[in-house]
Amino acid sequence: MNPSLISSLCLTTALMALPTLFFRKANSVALSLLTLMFSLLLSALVVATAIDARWAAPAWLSVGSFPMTFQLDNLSVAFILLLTVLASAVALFSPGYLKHFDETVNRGLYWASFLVFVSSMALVVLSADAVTFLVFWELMSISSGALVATNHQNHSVQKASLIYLGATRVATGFLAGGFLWMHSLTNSWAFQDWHFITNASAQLGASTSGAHFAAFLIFIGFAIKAGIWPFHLWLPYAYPAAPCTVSSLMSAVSKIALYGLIRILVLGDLDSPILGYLAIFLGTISAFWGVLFALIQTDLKKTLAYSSVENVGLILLAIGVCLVAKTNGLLSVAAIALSAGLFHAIGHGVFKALMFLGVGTVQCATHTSRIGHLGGLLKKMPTTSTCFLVGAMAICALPPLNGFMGKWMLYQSLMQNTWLSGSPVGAGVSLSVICVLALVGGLSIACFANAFSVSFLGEPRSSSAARAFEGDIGSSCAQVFLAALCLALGLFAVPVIGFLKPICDAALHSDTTVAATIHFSLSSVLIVFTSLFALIYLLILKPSKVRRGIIWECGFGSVSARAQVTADSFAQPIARIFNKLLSYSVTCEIEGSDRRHFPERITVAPHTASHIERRIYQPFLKLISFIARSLAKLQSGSIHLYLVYLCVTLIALLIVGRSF
Amino acid sequence: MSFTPAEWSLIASATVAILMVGSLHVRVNLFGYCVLTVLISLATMFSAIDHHETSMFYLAGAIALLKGISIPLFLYWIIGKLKLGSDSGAVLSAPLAMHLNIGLTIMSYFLVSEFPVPLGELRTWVGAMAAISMVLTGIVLMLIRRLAISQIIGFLVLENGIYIFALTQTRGMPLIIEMGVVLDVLVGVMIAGLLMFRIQSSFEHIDVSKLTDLRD
Repeated sequence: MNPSLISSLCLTTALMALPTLFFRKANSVALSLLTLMFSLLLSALVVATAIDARWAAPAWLSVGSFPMTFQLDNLSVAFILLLTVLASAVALFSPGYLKHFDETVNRGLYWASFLVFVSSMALVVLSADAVTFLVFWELMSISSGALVATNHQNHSVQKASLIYLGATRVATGFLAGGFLWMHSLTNSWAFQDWHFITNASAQLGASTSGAHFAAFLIFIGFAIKAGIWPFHLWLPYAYPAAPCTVSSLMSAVSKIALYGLIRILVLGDLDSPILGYLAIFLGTISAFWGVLFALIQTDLKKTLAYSSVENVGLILLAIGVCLVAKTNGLLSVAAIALSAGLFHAIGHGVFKALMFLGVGTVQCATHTSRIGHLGGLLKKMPTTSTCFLVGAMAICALPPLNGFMGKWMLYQSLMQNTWLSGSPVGAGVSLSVICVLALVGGLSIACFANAFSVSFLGEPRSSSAARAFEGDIGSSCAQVFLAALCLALGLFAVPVIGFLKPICDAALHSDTTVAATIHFSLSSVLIVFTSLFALIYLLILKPSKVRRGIIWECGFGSVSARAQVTADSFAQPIARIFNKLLSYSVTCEIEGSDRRHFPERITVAPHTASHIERRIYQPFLKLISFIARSLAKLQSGSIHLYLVYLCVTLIALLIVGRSF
Repeated sequence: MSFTPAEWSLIASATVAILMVGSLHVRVNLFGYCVLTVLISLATMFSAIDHHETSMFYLAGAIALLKGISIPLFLYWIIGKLKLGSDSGAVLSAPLAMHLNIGLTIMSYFLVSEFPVPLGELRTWVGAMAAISMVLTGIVLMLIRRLAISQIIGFLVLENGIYIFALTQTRGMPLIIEMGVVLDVLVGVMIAGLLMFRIQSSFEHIDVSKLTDLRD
């Protein structure tokens, strides 16, 4: 199979999608079929092509005079397959979803951006050199920016897409800086020539001094795009503002940023323990911070967005453990950590997409995604609820789903690192990270128990929730497909890890044996835990008969559905524990003449604020706009003043230029 | 000091440019520009004789005809139409500006002596000095005048300075490029002149210092 077919397919799709821009009322079903065909064809081509292929794009497609080069190895295959799976699910889902936003959404723009987005993501993953990578990276950022702005009549969406575009600009700036630096050090744009080594060794080869600074810039660039704390700020704006279909695909984008980290830094033999520990630190903080904020959100989309911060943090943590362990020579630990990171990246891509599609169906049925307005959807939307439950269980790392496997391997690597690292620092760090991870796991269970129980169980809290209905066949198919994939990835984790083995081998320059070392334990752990859960369910939580009775309403008259536990009240005990971090407070106002016994109206509202946003980003943005406004004073409108600038600049240049 | 005729005419043109700064009368300025351009055309002709390049003769003719005669005639016609007398001046008074300009010329002499350009037979320091001095003079001319027409004249002086630099430092550019530049300047002045009519009819003045409200 000629590998250049793959890049040609993606490029043609991107080009073919552009005319769709001009058809405001494009036919969603046809375009959805086109996307499906593209995804199927792409995955078929990728599977059929020999691994470790390298090729250059045809000359007429070169960027300026630069030849585009591509490569295909196990790493790119894994991410392309993830991408095609998500793209097909979202394509199946989209037509039904878009029907509900017929007045506001420009379908031509949506589908054109969608196709460009998917194909450029595939091309980013295929790129073998920095220039090609950046070109498609930019295409990906811009098309996803257009997708975020799908509902651009809405003010909050305008703000969100501006923030998102700003974040991508900064990320690309850092990346370009790091790439240029590496180019000046190695005189090559190809990723395979980039080695971030400062201590030359026989195993890894020659050293490149100064590469760590470039690595740092690249790291920051990818961290911003992935939504790592403290750069996660764009994420809770962009994900809720975008349509659910776009959010579910964008959760794949943050995976592309992590792919970049693995492709460039991990496969580039980065040997900086400082960056490794930085990755561990930022990853742990992101995981904790993300889940804490996810817990207190009252909008399902925001909950999912913050939970993305958490999971991306976990993946970055795995990458950090891999870097540190590799520098210390603990190759087996590094291999487990890298497998954990890759597996969780794929797993998170699947279950997060699944949950976003679930929220999309809920939004179509009830016109809201605020948890406080939902409730009782389990009876009205059984398929969606079940699929959402599967996703929530996967995200909470319950066996036998895929989230469990990723986290299990992450714990494994951290524990082994604790025993084997030999240095008190390494052991201490691993041990404390394990503690934080345990806390994160507990909080994420609380978070999704909250999200699921309040929105899907109980009685409907609003009339629109009461009138909810199941989505169309396409959306159900997409969700069932992804839910089944969650289960399959969990049950067949061992072959998947076997597929990821060549990546670990390439990253560690040795024959790693992840599958062999944890092969047995994975299957047995799976069986033990699954049967344990079944036992607990059957013996302790015995499914007993439902009893129906009358509720005592304290003499206030009939109790409405709003008396049920709300998301706020569910999250309150935990939020109070961490109230310093969340700046959490609850105001309670009671109105009425005899307020004590016969209140007429009680208002309770929790308040939270983001410290990072208020203390760091806002002053920084204010400073930037202050500088910009001061600079704008230069533009006085007076021609004479402009001439003075001209004259002074000219003389200064002449004086400076004479010495050169 | 022995200068070639080309160098003498360049020095003369730079001097005329400085003298132009000293007068606020628009017609005097225009006449100064006319003289200056003819001097530059002469310098082009002299260096054409020195180097036996026939193409530079055509260039000298084109400069004298287009820049030295057509443009001043056109601007003279505009001055008559708009009934302009003298410029009221801005920023600096005319005598002060002229002295400032002499200072700038001295500065350009010192700058040129440190220039990294190899000073061959044609690439004279005199030419470079006259060129830089004239560019700065053009800017000063634009800076200390109010009327739009004076801005145009100042810009034309500046453009002449750039031409001198190209002539003396690079042995002149290919004929076709120089011709293109000359035609560009001609068209630019035409458009600026027409725009001036529009400004006059909509604002009832052509004082650029009163146009500051136009910024966004």
